[in-house]
Amino acid sequence: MVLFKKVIRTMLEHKARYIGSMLLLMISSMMFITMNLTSMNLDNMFRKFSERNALSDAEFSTDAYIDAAAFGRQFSAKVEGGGTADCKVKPGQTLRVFSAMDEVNVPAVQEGKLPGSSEIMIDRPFAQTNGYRIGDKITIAGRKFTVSGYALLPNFIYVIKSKEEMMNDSTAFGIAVVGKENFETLPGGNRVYAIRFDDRENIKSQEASVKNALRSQGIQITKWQSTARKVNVSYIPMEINVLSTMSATVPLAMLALACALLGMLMWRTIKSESVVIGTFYAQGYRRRQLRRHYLTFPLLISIIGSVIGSALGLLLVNSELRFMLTAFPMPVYETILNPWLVVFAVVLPVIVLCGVTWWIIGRTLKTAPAVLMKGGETKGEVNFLERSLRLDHSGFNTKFRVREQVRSLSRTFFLLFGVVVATMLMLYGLTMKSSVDYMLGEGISELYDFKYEYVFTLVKTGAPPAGTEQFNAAYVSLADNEDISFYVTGVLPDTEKVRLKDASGQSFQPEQTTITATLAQKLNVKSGDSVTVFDTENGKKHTFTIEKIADTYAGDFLFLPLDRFNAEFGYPAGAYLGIWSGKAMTFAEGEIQSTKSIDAVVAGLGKMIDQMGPMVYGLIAAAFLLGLIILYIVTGLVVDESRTSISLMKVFGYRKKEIGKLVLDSNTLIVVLGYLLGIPALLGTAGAFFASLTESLQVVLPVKLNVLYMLFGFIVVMLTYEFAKWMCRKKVARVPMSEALKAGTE
Amino acid sequence: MFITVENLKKSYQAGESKNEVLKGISLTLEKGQTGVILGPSGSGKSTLMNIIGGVDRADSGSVSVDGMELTALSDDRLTDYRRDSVGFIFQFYNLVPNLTVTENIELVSNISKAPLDMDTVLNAVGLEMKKRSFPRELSGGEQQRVAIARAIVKNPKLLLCDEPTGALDYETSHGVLSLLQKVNRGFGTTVLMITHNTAIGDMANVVYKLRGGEIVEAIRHEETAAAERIEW
Repeated sequence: MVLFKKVIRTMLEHKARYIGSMLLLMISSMMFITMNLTSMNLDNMFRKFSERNALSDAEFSTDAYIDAAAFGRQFSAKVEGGGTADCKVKPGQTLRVFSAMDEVNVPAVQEGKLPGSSEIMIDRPFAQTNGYRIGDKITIAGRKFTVSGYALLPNFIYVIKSKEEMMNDSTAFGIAVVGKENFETLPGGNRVYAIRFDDRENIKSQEASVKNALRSQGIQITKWQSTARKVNVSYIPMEINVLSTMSATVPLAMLALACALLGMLMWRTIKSESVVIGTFYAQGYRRRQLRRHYLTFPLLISIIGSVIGSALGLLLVNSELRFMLTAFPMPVYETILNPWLVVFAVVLPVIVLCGVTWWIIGRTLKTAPAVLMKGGETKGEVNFLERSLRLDHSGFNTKFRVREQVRSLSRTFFLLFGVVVATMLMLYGLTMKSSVDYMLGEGISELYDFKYEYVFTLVKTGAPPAGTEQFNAAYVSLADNEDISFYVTGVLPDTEKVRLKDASGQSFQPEQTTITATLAQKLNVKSGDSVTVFDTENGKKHTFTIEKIADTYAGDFLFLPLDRFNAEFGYPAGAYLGIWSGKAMTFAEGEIQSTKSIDAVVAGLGKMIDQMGPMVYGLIAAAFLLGLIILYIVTGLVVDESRTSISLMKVFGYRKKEIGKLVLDSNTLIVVLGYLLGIPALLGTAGAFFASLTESLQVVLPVKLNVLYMLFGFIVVMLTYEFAKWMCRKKVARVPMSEALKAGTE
Repeated sequence: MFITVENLKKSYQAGESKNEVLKGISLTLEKGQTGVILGPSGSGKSTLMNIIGGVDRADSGSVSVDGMELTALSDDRLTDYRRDSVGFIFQFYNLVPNLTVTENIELVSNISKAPLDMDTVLNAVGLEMKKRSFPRELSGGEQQRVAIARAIVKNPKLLLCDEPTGALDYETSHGVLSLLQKVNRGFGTTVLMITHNTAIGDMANVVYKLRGGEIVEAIRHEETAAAERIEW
């Protein structure tokens, strides 16, 4: 009990250090629990929603009727015909109405009931934004419906009108479900078949077989949408992927920081108490009693920190989940609370921190009591780095600061690691913003010299409309890895709409087989290498030898001269599937399969950047707090460990400012170095992270960090450092001169 | 007179009781002389030296060093006084353990107006071969030599030595005392030493014996003994 009182008093004497360690652990456990449980629950919801409501693997339209049941039997799949229609509700407001399906893409009811005759279900954000409640009347395309409930669709979880928009505006767009009979009465409906294969492997190959079978029956496919590439669905696994990646790395980095900090503090506590330990030892205390005493420190800190953190984490799960479900509405089946996760979040810090302390105290207790009572073996010891440093030609201030850093390597490494982590955290959001900015400015706008891309339902020949330029394209997958897919695009060799340049910035025309740098990187190929792919339309294999690499971040493309493309993919000479135009055009109904507006893509990405604002600021605030904790603790440690030197300097006539410059500024070098190392560490991590998002985002994000953001980050880090120093200045002022007069440092 | 102390009083409050450490001390020391303050533990000799060194303040009385009245100086001016005029030597050397010999000396030369040449100082204390060593790698005597070098590098007017041989053996103590005498004679530095070793008094021009915060005896020597001849 007496020893326990000593633990509490020691902690109270150095409150900042121990509270700092607890805070780090709390943040770590909280993030671990919240992020893991959120991603686990989202994953569970997505899987269950996909399975229970039979999410399709593809949706397609044809120019002829298909016997869905027979077709399903032929391919061991569930096939159902339905439809969609974009209907105006008010000027500038569209509802995409789906016909209620029974076998594939079955709608779920969030609230209310499935629609009966003259009834309609709409999505909740659209209803709430525009003031519709269950039982209200809504007029769509001139027909009156009663709102029967709020709908959730497995094939339209992320509600956005098109993939170019990125973020939805509920005032302008929403989804709705009506019964099949009611759907037939709506104008402008497209018949859409949805297919879900029984065999859950090799989906793309099965899709190719279906397409081939349709063609062999003389049926023309007017539209094919693989679910893996449909942003309304593919964003969800991407978000889960982001969360689970972050939930593993960020809390572990925090835990590592907390362990490093507490290990360092325990090392110092035990070292400074060697006389006390020696005395206890000499008076008959056993090793295990002393070990138990010193293990109380990490035990208390880790249990308090991780239990409070985990509890906060559990409290935050529902809010986080609710927030995620506003963006990705899905049915809530049940909230999974994995107790093992909580046990892990509490036990891991306890084991790691107690293990580190066990090892440290074990080393000290091996020393003889007589030696310990004299202050231990390590007093005044000089490490290898201190001994090998030659600073003869440097000024005294530099020498002093360098010596301060090499005096305690554990403290220096902790500071370095802490600043690296804080830098990465702070600049993460800004890197994402820079990368999207770069992609917009240097990628899309640099590569394309047109405003609209129109893809026809059927391949055309002959001259394209005046002012436009024709192209042909095929969506292919790697022969040995169908998860990697990209477009092979046939363009005019003297194209004016696509601007390519090589790594040196020299422009060139796509007269040869050209691959974009990002795709080359992904496929790990260089000039002269071959790439074998299969056409996702018919499964036919094609091999291309890369001749040039284009330095662009606008996407994953392989460009071929149009004639060569047509010959390779079996199209007649001069055939083309789409055109690029500098202005908006109108076409006959059914002539166009899809339209892409470059301005809409840019605007969508711009909107996404705007939406990133809170995340970016949140990360900067978190990094500031983390940095402040670390810098304050380390600066405080420097002051504590330099008390005799500070006291001595005061006796020798050093002024406050001079002492501050020497002692408090001694970490400047490490803080700057930590920041500089944090940038490449961040860019490397972000590169790997962005690469994992490429498939779902359908765009390649280059990893870029604007110089201005780097400068901004540096200013924030230095301001945090100055703030921590300012907080420690009082500590320096409190060191009395009597400390040097009463005791010797050696 | 280089140092004039008149009716100096100092007391410390310890809880409700007041501990009178100096009870009206008066002493003088001429420029270039060596003074020794002798006394047992608790006699007030360290407090007296701290006040003369500008590290502590008196309750009443006056302290004048080289014409400067210390009791009238502000904190900043007192800092300037310590910085420019006083060299300190401590019983336990007070070297910074992670600085080399040269760097420990530079700790003071760094803030001095006209420091002596580093090699001259190292040569004077006989440590030119150890200038890259760390304190831990030196013997007690060598460490005290570094402390002396650090004190004299600024070429101070006054050298204050607090039990400079208190932690050293007989042989080493002689070496350190000889060095202090050499500094006193060579640089003309006024030396004020506190000790409880009465034999050291023989090398001083003036010896003040302190007991219970009062000077009980003042002895002036016409001739001082060479440090190496002192026996105890």
